[in-house]
Amino acid sequence: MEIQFQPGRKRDQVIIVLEGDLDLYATVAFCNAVLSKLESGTTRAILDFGKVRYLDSSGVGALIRILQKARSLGGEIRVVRLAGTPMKVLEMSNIISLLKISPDTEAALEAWE
Amino acid sequence: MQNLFIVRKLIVDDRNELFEAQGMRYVELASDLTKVRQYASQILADCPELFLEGNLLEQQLSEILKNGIKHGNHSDTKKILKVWYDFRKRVRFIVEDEGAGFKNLEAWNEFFRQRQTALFQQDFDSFLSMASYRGPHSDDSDGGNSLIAALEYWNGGMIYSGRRNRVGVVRWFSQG
Repeated sequence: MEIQFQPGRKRDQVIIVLEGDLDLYATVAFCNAVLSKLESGTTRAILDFGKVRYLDSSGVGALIRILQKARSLGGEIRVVRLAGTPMKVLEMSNIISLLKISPDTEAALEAWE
Repeated sequence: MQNLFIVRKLIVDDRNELFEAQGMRYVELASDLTKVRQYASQILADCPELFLEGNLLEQQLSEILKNGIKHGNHSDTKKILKVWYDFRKRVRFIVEDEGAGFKNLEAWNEFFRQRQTALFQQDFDSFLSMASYRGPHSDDSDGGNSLIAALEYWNGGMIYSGRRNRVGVVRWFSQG
């Protein structure tokens, strides 16, 4: 899985673009990279799922840890371009109601204005 | 409209019909965690496309294989994972590992009941704190939620054997 960090509109914002499969082999690196970003002070993160084609329970667990961390730091996670299997897996895992979902990055950034 | 509060449970039933393996195809897999997704793809190679639902079936089968290999056989490649499978009209699997069985099954059911109660009561702080199950052997790559999605996905049942080292699952399809 490839992870790209892009700056948001403000210093505490980051856009995290994911590409590939968020599975048991990729989860630990993904989770650690995002947690480090949150701990460094960019506590409002947009996770772009537009190019994620596969999500498993490891990835869901990582998302939960990221949500917990952001909440403890007073930040917020927004998920954008969620569709397909990743969306179904999050629905079946019953955590979709925990997520703040926006259609795309622009909408997520607007929500923080 | 009255809100319904339903909590599904993992069930132990040695005599359940989901363990009837007659007519099913069979494969034995070495317990190599690095090959979980490869194994799932191989088993599903000739599965009807209707049942695949994109890669959702591959994902759910991978979860069951991973649980058997990692938590059952502790990724010991000398240990075998036995898999029976059948794609006639619906998707059925029986997966058996060589481990001591899912000893924390009742604890998991109680975890899930509390988690769903928090969700039903919209107590999101409690829900978030309980969103993942952490068992005695969980590590950072364990999501702690595979069984939650599995109970939803395997809509015809998810049953454990008396020894709890064998699980039988079935998913029906309305167009199947």
